[in-house]
Amino acid sequence: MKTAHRTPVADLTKGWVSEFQDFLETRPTHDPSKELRSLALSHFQEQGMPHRKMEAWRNTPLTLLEEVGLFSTTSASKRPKSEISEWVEALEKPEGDWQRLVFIDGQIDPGLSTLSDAESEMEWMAFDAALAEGSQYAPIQERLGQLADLKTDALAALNTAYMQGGVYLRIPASCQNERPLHLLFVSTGSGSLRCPRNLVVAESGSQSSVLVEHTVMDEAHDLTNCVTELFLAENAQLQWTVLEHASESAIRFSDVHAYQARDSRLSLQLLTLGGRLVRNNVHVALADTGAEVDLNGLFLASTGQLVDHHTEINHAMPQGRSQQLHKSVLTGNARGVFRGMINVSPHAQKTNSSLSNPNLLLSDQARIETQPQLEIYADDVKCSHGSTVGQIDEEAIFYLQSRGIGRNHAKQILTRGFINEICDRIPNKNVQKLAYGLTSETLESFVNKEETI
Amino acid sequence: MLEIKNLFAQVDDKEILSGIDLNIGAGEVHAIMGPNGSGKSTLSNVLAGRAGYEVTGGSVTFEGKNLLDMDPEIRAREGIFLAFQYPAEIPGVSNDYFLKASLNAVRSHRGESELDAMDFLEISREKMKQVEMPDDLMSRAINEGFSGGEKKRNEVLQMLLLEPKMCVLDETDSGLDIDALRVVAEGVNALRNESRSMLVITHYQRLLEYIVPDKVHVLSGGRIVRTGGSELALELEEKGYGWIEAST
Repeated sequence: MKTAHRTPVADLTKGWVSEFQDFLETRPTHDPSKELRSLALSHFQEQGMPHRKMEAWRNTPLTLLEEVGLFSTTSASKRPKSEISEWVEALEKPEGDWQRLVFIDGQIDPGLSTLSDAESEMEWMAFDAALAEGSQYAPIQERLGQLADLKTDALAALNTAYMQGGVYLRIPASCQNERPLHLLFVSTGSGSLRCPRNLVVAESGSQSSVLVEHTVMDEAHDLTNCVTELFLAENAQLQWTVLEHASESAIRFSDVHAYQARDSRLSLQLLTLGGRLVRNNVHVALADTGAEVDLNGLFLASTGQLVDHHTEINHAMPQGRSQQLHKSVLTGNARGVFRGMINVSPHAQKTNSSLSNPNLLLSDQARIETQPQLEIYADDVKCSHGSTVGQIDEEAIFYLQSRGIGRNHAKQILTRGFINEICDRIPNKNVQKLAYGLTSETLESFVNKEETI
Repeated sequence: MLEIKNLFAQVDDKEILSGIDLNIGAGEVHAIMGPNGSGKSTLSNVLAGRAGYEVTGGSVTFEGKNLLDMDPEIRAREGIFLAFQYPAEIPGVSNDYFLKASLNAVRSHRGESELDAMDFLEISREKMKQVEMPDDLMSRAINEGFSGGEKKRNEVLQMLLLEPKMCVLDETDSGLDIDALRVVAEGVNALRNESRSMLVITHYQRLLEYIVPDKVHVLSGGRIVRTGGSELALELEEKGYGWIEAST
């Protein structure tokens, strides 16, 4: 992307601070979150944006933001509503019976959303509406920001100051995964900063499945800074799949925090298929005995893209299980970063934890920094971690060639196979199918763009 | 069908094949036997076109065409099939997807129409029965977690599907118990006909009790040092390779 003018990151920070009062005025008079927002802004102002001298941001320069310029917090979409609606209608959706909430630039669009009525057992409110109605604020206030720390996480603080769009979701015990929920976030390219916020409370014994999809119209230059807090009560089961297929110019930061009570099970998938600069953080606290998490991640990136996935799992109590598989496929001069931290506290005996991070480089210029880490303070645990970086196996290519399959086709099949292992782990079959399709499209775009496979 | 003339080949600058001459006519089954390190596997890899096997002299002609000029996939489409001693394991790619892609690549090279999923299913089911392969191996990743016997059955299944003109079996008997050996050999024998040729490479005589060759060649030091009928295999079994090496 070529722009003559560069806006230093410090100026972006100043811009977001100075726009805050204007933003607050756009909120409903009785918005009970105003106090929290102001507090969050002051924390953001104190910290400023993350920078490369911070260990967690060492490989991920935010100077990329400078090329794009200021992201306004209030600008509205320049596109006509009908164009947006048509685009959303045409977007491929997962098959099957879904409840769907569509957010356009952070605002819920009731016309595009499809909600079941009486049968719906999930109780949801668009985050804004929940905030605007004072009576609904109490249960939110109880949880909001419990997991995302304003004091140490500048981006969480920025999100909290400007949070708009997203969902407050309460999943009662009676919910037994009858109908999955699709949260579709669309950025239309208004050059804006969007801060969606999700707060999910999966109550004891509930079972549910949610697909979170983030997408961008055309070559939109938007900055999305999303925070999600997931609370799983005792024995709750939640499937949470995030599919990001942003344009090559979009910038995206995301924090997913999960807190898991006794015997709860979380299945979390994170697939990043585009974006100029993408940073995803996942923090999971296995806070009580027997909690389990399956966390799988994938990113595909080509020339000009930087994708960074950080995961952190804290085993606090005994009998916990965590299983992670994270993969990346990089081509052109793409940059990838993966850091996975597993922490096993002294109480967390009988922990079973594994982390595997294979990475596939399709070109000589692509780079990946990978750092799986284990910190174990208990003595009776089973833990493993490892990462690999490599090219497509020549033995495998030859095997397919020897059966008549051309070399380039063989490479595509093998790359597809590498990705399949992640898609296969998506528990909802319809989402799995969607993921196969979207990842195939991305791979095809690699072929056209890079001629490396 | 296959004509090898004075073939020299090296691996990592070390000469392994030192002047091989071999003619295999249509419908003939030839066996190559030899001790470890005699160049058996190198010969099969040179025929299949594996990278790292450098031909330094001689020629290989397949149906009048220069085989050595062809990429491995073209050799396969032209009708050469190598059943591997150690087939690759490929996670994430299902066996049926692979076999369909392979069969269609070969079919379209022959000018035949590509098969859709239903047609492929029908054909593959029939061939699977022939090698007594359980259905679930089709939906699993290629060779991943397959037993030694299952891998070899999978090789023969591919051979049955692709119907090559020239089959090269590289130590297909290694690591097989007697039942698996019988199934594999029956699969191979089912393909024998007056136009299809075979080159069976083996260290042991055992496989040749099931797949009886027309000719047996003994490879030693990168050259064929003796050629005879199927009785030569028995003689080797009895006297050992030392007998040949001592007499040459």
